[in-house]
This record gives sequence, C-alpha cells and structure tokens, in this order.
Amino acid sequence: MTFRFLHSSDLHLGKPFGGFPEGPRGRLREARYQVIGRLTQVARDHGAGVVLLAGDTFDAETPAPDTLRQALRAMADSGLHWILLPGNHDSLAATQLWRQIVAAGLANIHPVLTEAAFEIAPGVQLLPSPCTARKPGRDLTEAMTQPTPSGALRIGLGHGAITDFSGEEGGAGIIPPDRAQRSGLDYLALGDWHGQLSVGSRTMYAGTPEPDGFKHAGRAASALVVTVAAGAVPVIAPVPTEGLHWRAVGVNLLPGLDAVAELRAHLPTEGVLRNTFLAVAATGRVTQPDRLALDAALAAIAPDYGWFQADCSGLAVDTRPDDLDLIDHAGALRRAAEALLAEADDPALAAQDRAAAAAALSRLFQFAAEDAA
Amino acid sequence: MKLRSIALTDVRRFAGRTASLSGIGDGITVLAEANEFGKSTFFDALYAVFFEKHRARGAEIKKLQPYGGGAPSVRVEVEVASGRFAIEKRWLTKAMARVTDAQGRQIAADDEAEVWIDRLVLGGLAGPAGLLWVRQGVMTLDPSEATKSERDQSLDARRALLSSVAGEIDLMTGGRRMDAVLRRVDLALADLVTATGKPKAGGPYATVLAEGERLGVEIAGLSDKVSALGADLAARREAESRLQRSDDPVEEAARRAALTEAQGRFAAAQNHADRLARAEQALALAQSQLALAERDRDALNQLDADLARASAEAARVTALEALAKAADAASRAALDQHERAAQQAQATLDAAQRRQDVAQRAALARQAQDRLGDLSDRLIKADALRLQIETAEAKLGQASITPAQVQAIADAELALALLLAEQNAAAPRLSVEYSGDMRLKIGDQTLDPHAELAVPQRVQVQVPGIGVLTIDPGRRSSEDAAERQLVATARLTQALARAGCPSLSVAQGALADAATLRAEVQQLRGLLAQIAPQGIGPLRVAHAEADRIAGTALPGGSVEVEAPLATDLATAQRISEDCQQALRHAVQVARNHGEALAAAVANVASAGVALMAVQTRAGDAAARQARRQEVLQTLDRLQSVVAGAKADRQALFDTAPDIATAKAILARTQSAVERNLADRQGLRERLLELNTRITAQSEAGLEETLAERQGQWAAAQTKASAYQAEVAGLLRLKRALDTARAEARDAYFEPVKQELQPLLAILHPDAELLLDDQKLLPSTLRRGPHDEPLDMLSGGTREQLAILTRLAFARLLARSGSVVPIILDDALVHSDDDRIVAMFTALHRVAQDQQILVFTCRQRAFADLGGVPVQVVIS
Repeated sequence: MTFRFLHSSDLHLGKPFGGFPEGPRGRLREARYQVIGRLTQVARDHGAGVVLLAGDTFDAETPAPDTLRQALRAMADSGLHWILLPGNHDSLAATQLWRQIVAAGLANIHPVLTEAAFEIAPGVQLLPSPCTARKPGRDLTEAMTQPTPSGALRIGLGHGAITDFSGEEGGAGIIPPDRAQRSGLDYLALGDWHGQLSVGSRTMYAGTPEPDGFKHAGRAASALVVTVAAGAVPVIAPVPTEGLHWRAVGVNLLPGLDAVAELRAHLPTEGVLRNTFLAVAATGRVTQPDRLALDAALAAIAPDYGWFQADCSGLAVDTRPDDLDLIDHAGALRRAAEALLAEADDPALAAQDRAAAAAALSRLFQFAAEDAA
Repeated sequence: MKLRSIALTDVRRFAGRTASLSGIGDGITVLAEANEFGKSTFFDALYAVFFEKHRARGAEIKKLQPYGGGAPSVRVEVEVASGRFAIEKRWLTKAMARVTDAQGRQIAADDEAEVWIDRLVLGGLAGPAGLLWVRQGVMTLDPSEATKSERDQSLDARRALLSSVAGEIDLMTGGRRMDAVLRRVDLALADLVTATGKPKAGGPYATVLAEGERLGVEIAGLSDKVSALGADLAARREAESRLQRSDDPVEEAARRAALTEAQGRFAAAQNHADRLARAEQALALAQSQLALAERDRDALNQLDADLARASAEAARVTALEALAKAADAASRAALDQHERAAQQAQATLDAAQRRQDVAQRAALARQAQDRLGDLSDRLIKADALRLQIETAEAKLGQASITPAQVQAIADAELALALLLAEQNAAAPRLSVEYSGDMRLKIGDQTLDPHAELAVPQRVQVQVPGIGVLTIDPGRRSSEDAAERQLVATARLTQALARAGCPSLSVAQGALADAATLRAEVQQLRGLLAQIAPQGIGPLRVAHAEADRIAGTALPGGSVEVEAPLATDLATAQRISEDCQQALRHAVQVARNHGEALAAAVANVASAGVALMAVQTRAGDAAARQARRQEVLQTLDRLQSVVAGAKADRQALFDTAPDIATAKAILARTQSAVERNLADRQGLRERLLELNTRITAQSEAGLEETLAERQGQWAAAQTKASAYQAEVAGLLRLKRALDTARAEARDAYFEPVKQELQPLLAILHPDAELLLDDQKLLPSTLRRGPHDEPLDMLSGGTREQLAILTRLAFARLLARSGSVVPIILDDALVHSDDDRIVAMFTALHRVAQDQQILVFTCRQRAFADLGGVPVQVVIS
C-alpha cells in the first residue's frame, strides 16, 4: 500500500514582525495566513488528503483570537485533514491554545496532545512526539518506538533539533539522526529548522513554507509531498509555497570596479519585485565618487521592492586627495574636507570620533555633489 | 589720481558765477569756510563729475541746478601718472563731457570722456567714492539712508578691493558653495535637532526616541501581563494536577479507612478513660470521708486543751485582782491627806489678798481727792470763758456787713463822682465879669462878679435890669448825662441797701467793728484751750471720775505698810502652789490604781465567762470519752477503704491507652478527609477563576502584541542610533565648515586689518575692530573683554571709526596701485577736541602718500590740522 501526504512545519502564524514598518509588516503577517491556502492547493494538486504540520504552527502560546480562528477556519474549509503537532513555540504547555483548538470541535483538525500512536489513514499509524514544553530537556521521539499494528505504515512526527544548530554538540533534547531507523519508521517528518533539510532517506525537515527572515534566503521555501510505501524508500517532492521572497544580496566592491554596475549585477530579477524583501550588504572599499554613486543607486532601487535595506557598514571609503576636488579645489570647503579626512584616519582618536568625522566627510561629499548638480 | 583744482559754474548758489578751488596739494588740503558757503556743493559736484553721466537728469543732477535754473557745469583738474588733465561736464542743457590734457588738447569727449573717467575712478560708482568719500552728516560706513543698490555697489567695491589685495573672497571662504553646503547642513540639522543639539520636537529623531520610549513603557506593561498569564497557566496546570490527585478513588478510600480506624481507637480510649474517672471519684470519696473522721478526732483533742487553758487563766486573773484592790485603797488614803493640806494653804492665801486690796483702794482714793480741787477750779473758769465767747459771737453775728459790700459801695460812689466830674468837665463854661452892685443870679445863687462855672444843663441867669439870660448846653447831651447819673445813683443806693448802711463811712465803721469782735473771740478761745485742752466736756468727765474715786475708800480702812503685806502674800501663794502640786499627783496615782482595779475585775469576769463557755462546749467528760472511742474506730475503717480505692485507680491508670494520641490521629484523618473535600472545592473555584482570567488574557493576543512591540522597539532603537550618528556627523561637519570659514575670513581680512590697526591704535590703544564677513565692514569694536557693536557706540566714535576705515581702504587702494583722493565733507562734527587732534594725527599718517581734501566749517578747531589751506575764488 502507499500513502501520500503533505509534510510542512513552522508556519508561525501570528508572527508580528514588529521590526518592520507598518506596510511590510501587514504583508508579512498576511503572507503567513495565505500559506494555508497554498498548502491546501499543493495537497490537492498532488492528491494528498492529510497535511502533517510538524510543530510551531503558531508563533505564540496564546495567539490573538483572529490569528487562531482565521487559521482554523481556513484549515477547516480546506477539506483536508490537518495534523497539528505542538512545537516549542506552541507546546503542550500552551494549554489554552490547545483547549481552544479542541473546543472548536473541527472534525478535520487533529491536535496531537499525547504520544499515543493513532491511525491517520487505513493501515497508516502516526507516532507523534508533541513538545511538552518550550524546552523539554529530553528526546521526545523516544516514544516513537512504541508498537503499532503489524503491517501498518509507521510515520513519525516530531519537532526539535536533530543537531544543535547553534553549533554546540550533544545538547539535551537532541533527536538522534537515526531515529527513523531506531524506531522502525517509514518516514520521520520533522519541524523546527526553517530551512528544508534532508537527514537521510526517511527523515526530512520540511522547513517553513513561508520564510520569515533572511536566514534561509536564496532558496524558495516549499512543502514536501511525501509518498510512503511499505518496504520502500519514501518519495519526497518539494513544492514551492512561499508568497514573499526574502533575498539577501552581498556586493563586494573594490576601487576601480563600477560600484553601481556591481550592485545591479547582484540584484534579483526574477519574480515580482514587489513581493521581494531585499537586503543588500555592501562590503569592501570604494572611492568617494563611487560611494556617492552607490548611495544614489541604492536610493533609486529601494522603492522597487516590498522592503529594502542597504547595509554599508562594512564598506570602507577610500578618500584620496584628488577626491576632495569634488568638494572644492581650495578655500574653506577644501580645508574643512581635509580636516575631516585627517580626523577620520587619525588612529589617536576614539572610534566614535573617527566615525563622526567620516560621516561628516561623507555628508560633505553628498552636499557638495548636490550643489554641483 | 590727485585733484588739483575744481571750478563750478551755475551750480546751486553760484548761479551765473564760477566758484574756483585751486592749489590742492599732495597731502592734506583744508577748505575751512562757514556754513552755507557751499562746501558741500563742491563735494556733490565732484561726485557728479566722476559718477554721474553728463546726460544724467536725475535727482542728483537736479540738486546741482541753481534755484533759478540753468545748466550746471563742473571742471576738475586731475593729475595721474600719465600727466595732468582737465575734466569738464555740463548737464541738462547742452550736456557735454570733455577731457583735455595740460596743453588744452581734447583727449576725449562725451561718451568717450565718460569711459575715460570710469577708468580713472576704477569702475564708476562701485569705485572709491563709496569707499573713501565721506559726505556731510554721514557717520557710518553703511548708511541706512542708502538704497539697496547703493549698498550692493559699495559692497562690491569693498569686495573687489579686498579681493585685489587678498585674493578672491569666494575662493577663500568657499563662497556660495560654502553657503549652500552650510545651508544643507543647517537644514538637515534643523530637521533633527534644535539649536542646542537636543532632538527637535516633532522631528524624526525626537519622534523615534519618543516612539522608543512609548514602546518601552508598553512592552513593560505587556511583559507584566504576559508573565501574569504564564503564571496563571502554570497555576492552572498545578491546580488541575492536584484536583486529579484529589479525585483519585483509591486515595479517597484509604483516607476513609484511616478515619474509621482512628474513630474506633478513640472510642476505646474514651471508654477506658471513663472507668478511670469513676475509680478516681471513688478514691476521692473515701479520702474525703477519712478526712472528716480525722477532723472529728482533732476537734476532741482541741477541746481538752481549751478546757485546761481556760481554767488556768481564771486562776491567774483572780490573783491579780486581789493585788489591785490593795493598791487602790492605799492611794485613796494619800489623796485625802493632800486635799486637807491644800485647803489650809488656800485659806491663808485668801486672807493675805484681802489685806492687800484694802490698802490699795485707800491709796487711790487719796490721790483722787488731791486732783478733785484742781479740776473744780478749771471747770469754773472754763464755763466763764465759754459764756464770753458766746456773747461776742452773738454780736459778731449781728454785724453782717462784708468787705465786698463795703467795696461795692465805694465803687458805686466813685463811679458817681467820676460821672459828675465828667459832666462838669464837658459842660460849657460860663464866665462872667461885671462890676457894680448889681449881681447876677441863677435861681437863688448869686454869681460872683468874676465867676466861672460850668453849665452842664440849661440854666437861666437873671440879669437884673435886663432880664433873664438862658444858657442851654444842648438837649441831647444833657439828657444822656442825666440818664447815666440816674443809673450811677441807683447803683450806689442798691449797694448801701445791701450793706444796710446809710453811707460809705457808716459801712466802713461797721466793718471795722466786726473785725474787732473776731479778734476778741479768737483770744477767748485761746484761753479756753489752755484751761481745757480737750474741751469742757472731757474736763467735766474727769472731774466727775475723780469725785467718784475719792468716795470709794473702804470705811474704816487704813493704810498699811505695803512691803510686809507683799511678803506675806508671796509666801502664802508659794505654799498654796506646793500643796496644789502634791494634790494633783495624789489624784493621778489614785486614778491609776482605780483603773487597774477595774481592769482586774473585768479580766476575772472575762476568764470566768470563757471557762464557762469551754465547759459548756465540752459537756460531760464521760460522753466525751465515748465519742473519742467511736471516732478512732471510724478512722481505722476508712483508712482501709482508701487503700483499696487507690489500688483500683492505679490499675486502671497503668493500662489506660493514650487518648490524646488517639484524638490527634482521629483529628488528622478527619482533617485529611475534610481538607480533601475543601481542596476539591477550592481547586474547582480556583480553576474557574484561572480559566476566566486566562481566557480573557489569551483573547487579547498578548504575546503577539508583545513580540510585535519588541520588534518595533528594536527597530526604533536602530533608527535612533542612526539618527544619533547622523546628528553627530552633521554637527561635526558644521563645526569643520565654521572653523574653516572663520580661518579663511581671518586670512581675507588680514590686509585691511593691517592697515586699520595702526590707525585705530591712535584713538583706541589695545582696541580691535572685528569685520562682518557679509558686509566686509567693521561691525564690532573689541576693547579688552568687551565687544561693542558699532551701532551701540556714540556718534563721535562711529564717525571716527568710519573715517579710519576709509583711510585703511585708501591705503589698500594705494597698495593695489590706485591712488584716489580722500574727501571729507564736515566729517568730524560729532568729535570732541581731543579726538579731533587724534584724528588729525591719523590723517597725517595716511597723508604721507595719500591726497586728502578736507571741507570744514570749524575753522578754529581745524586750525591745528595743518595741511595746505585753500580758498574759494568766485568770479
């Protein structure tokens, strides 16, 4: 027998994105809700009747009523069966959340509140390991070793780190990478890691279907259409689901390079730019004229994107004496520029004072250029 | 260029005439003339020659016209490096301009002549005139009455001059570009911060700071609420866990079984305790009965003792009574003896006292008899004197006239006499002089042949043989005098009537008689006071008292010798007092013995009564013995009963269970059951409360809101840091620009300062002039630590500084190769003499290589200026 389902996780519904301006913030929140519809569509398109959400469906333990109810309504109206596993953000300690979900009494929404295995389709047993707390401090997937009826497909559903993504090894609560093998699982559906990650042929992190930052930018987020068959390696097909595209662009510049051309070469061109959240990080060194041109180019392209951020803190500006001619060849302006340049390069001064002098010189270039124009 | 001569024709007051000023030297030339002479006309004409085109018809030219009209013309001779030239200009009618050389050859005419002149004065109005020429009444460098165009032209001239000696100002100070950059910096700063560097209210910097602060407050509040919600959720989990345990049926059954067992153990313990209590009651009853029997035995013993003690006491007090009776009898006998001795001594004392009284009264009567004669004599004399006083006072009472009454009579008489004298004096005088036997008569009165008399009233003089001569002094005068006389007479009559006297002499006599009587009474009273100092009454009383005492001598009494009598009396008194003393002691002794006897009798009676009472209580001795036997038997029996009861009670006590422990166990188990019930109820109520609160808070989406605010707060902090860095950069840029411009400005002004400072030092040592980089003129006078704006200085100082500045500019011009004369038209009108002298020094300093033309009306004050004096020649 074969069983096909959709594997996703980390929807983080209700994530507030407070650091963004009001307009982009609204779009980010809305995109997280809209991903339910996209998951529904992907499942229908691929003939999957069950959607496994491997934790962190909600961003907070007590989401706002509209966040919760609108999400439940969208799932309920999908006609699919949604298996909701508590993750670290919405663990079982969030008793109020799960009570509300249970109290909603929606037949096709199945909150997983215990470790007990249950049948999600004829001959298909789900072995869940819901997070009991934000940091349980133990391997919850140990429960997946429990027996199931003979011949049934065993699908594990868990949430947590299979390795310490922070770089530390052997932390408490780490899921063994060979959990699928140890517990005789046909497939282990994991959540927590927002990027998509394969841990062997039977274990996958689906990643978030709608990115929420630049951490995993560059690769389109997707859900996994998984087909499991007895005795066979599962067939896993990623299907893009993201609504907004997060792109981080690094531009390394050197004197002599055309800074603007370099920038344009790195800019994303695919998709609707309005749906792209772009972060440009300029590094290296440029001359003052190139810096002025780069600033102007950045300012010019910013409105094309849904959100735009340019970080030039890693970009050093080489100011040569000739560059000061752009300000003035002689006279008071020239002398002011020379004083600021000397101050910006004076190692005897505090970093803060040097930074202020550099900023002042940069502004002087800008104002002088504006006046020249 | 140097001026050599000026000639005006048909200019203002010089209508139809030519006014010439010649002989202008290289240094200072002074034209000193009175007011209204036309000095300013020369100034204006010079200005017109150099700065007004010959075709000009403006106000400046019209002002040159004479009142009667005409075409003003001016001829100026100048000397330049290339030689000497004459410049002529005429305006309005047949306007012309012409330049000729020293030989009279025309160099240029009309427009070409204007070009030649422009070149000479370095560019028209923007040239030296605005810099160097001081018009009358102008005190400042940048006169307010000048138009904007004039000011701009003057500024351009200064800028051109300074640029020629110090380089292009724009090049040095950054010029317009610097202005634009500074403006952009100021705008950028003004958008973010105030002038003092604080975030500007309403600006993006202040807004993001305020937003951060607001979010911080909101986050704190939300964090509290989220924490509270978390605590509520934890509390609910705990409560639900406890409720689950509380509802566990196994645990509930165990609690119930424990309670039942505790109840059984407690009931058994209570039963045993009841039995023990009853044994203790029986023991207590036996002990009580035994105590009663022992008390009966003790009472019998006590009764025997009481009986023996009462008998002994009765015997003792009876013996004491006998002793008291004997002592009482002895004291009574001694008392009788002392009473008799005292009576005998008192009789002796009484006899001695009676003899003493008789002798004393006889002596007093004899003394009274002696005084009685004197008192009788004085009393008779006193009565006689009193009679005399009364008689004199009666007479004095009849003479009632007073000195005032006498004075009133005298005053009235004097007034009447004065009135009559006055009438006589005022009356016409009648003088007759006749001879012969015939006699004139007035009434019956014959007039003496040489008579002279007053005629106060109408009189008729009978002239024998002739008739009657009536003389009337005037009716009114006569009536008035008569009336006043009547009044005076009436007053005199009244005064006499009040005194009761017919005349003043009688009144005066009566008054003298009264005075005599008073003196007599006074004398009599003095005599009476000597005889009876305290009055006749007391004298009469003393007389009666003496008479009484004299009659009190006892009949038959004789006067004994007093000394023996006194000795006898003293002896009798001493003996009597001794006897009385002894008697009082005997009385006290007898009283004491009597009281002791009474007490002894009472004690005997009391002891008898007590003995009788004890005997009555004891009753019969045989009966008492039988009772004692009975009591002793009862005691033996009850002691056996008590011993048995004690043994029973001890046996129960030793086997008694710990009822307190049984009770505590029962209470504990019961409490556990009850507390479980209460806990269940409490937990359900607590859960209800927690659910309500959690539901309410979770509905608010607190965590989402908190996370959103935290993100917003972080973004605000990032923005604030960016603004802070931006402000720091802009401030640093502004400071750098200001510093660079100030340094450039200082360098730019250095040449003019070099020229100006020595001149300024002549008037104001240690002072410095600060220049405005916009107007390119001095703006502030710095003296020591004080900066004084020029427009705050006095008029004199301002005009001096204006001239010094022009002198400095003139030297700058000379350094640039353009020598232009300085013209001062009554330019030092506000300066005092000392300052003028200093200014002369400054002028001479500059005049070493500079032509200066001075017009002044202050001929005396400018006498010390020196220079070349010139005069205007009018033809």
